[in-house]
Amino acid sequence: MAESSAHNTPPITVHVNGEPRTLPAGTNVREMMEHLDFTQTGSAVAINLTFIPTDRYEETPIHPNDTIDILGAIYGG
Amino acid sequence: MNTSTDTTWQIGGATLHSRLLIGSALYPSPAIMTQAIRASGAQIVTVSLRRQGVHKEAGEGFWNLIRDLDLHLLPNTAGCHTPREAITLAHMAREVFGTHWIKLEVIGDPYTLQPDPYATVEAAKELVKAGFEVFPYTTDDLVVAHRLIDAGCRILMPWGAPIGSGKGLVNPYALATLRKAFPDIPLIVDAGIGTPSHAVQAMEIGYDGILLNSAVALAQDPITMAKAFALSVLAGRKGYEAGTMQERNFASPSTPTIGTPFWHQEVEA
Repeated sequence: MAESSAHNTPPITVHVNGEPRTLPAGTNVREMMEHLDFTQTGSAVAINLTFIPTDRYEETPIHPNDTIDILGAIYGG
Repeated sequence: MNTSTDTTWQIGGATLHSRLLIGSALYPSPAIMTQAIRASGAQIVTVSLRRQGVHKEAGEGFWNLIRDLDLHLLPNTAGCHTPREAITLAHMAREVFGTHWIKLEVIGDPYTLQPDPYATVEAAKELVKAGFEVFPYTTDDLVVAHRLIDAGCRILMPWGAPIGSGKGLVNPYALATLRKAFPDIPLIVDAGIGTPSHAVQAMEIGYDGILLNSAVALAQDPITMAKAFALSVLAGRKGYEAGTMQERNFASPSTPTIGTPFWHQEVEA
């Protein structure tokens, strides 16, 4: 999490899987996953309909009002 | 029960014995799902992605069950209505399931779940460029099939009837036309199969395989129905390979007529 944002910047609101959630400003995708307890394996993330590969979680910041989908495996036809 | 063919076939770079592809949804329980999939002999199983936390069955538990089956996974883009949604979901599926196979579904009508041909072709072009092996769910329209091949698809999956309807092959003529038009493209009937006889019909006209889900999962006894479909797909394929007789518009006795007993020539007085 960015050092400069920890004390002075107010938290941001985003939508995660259709629900409004609050995150510390400056959060990246990796930190968001831990913060929201999405820690199980087999997840994939898209922000504003753009896929974010796992190896880009640390370098991808979350912005206010982002629409985030965190998906997991399920049965399908 | 051995329901695999004694010959193999290829699709998407895989060499398979079974020509039945099966879905993993709608079963009464996870245990029945795994038993039915095993009983079907299928070597390809379809899976999907959904929001975590919404479906409690989603995630690691299901993933572990499917992984234990040790089959080829075919993730779908079910629920997508635009190329952008389908392309994003395909990339997410590639990361989660570790396969470049994608069953491309872009729905154009909420009542019939008919695929949107324009959006499907557009998404297929992008996904092929991105290295995916695209299994496009499409209608039986010949021109759309040509456009999908032009887009780089090496497989076609026309519907037999709307998803989950169990109506069978609504337009066998159109499906047979696709077979004639694309003799070297793997063709899978995807959606609409309700009974084993529907599968036989599709295989007899030369389809390479059948993809189904509801017909097994919603049967009174899914495990037995899975076995029935395994047999029907095999029977249809063998019938196709053997070459069916020419249909005729008149009767033709099969028992020899020479030496017919009790026959005598009428003698004119």
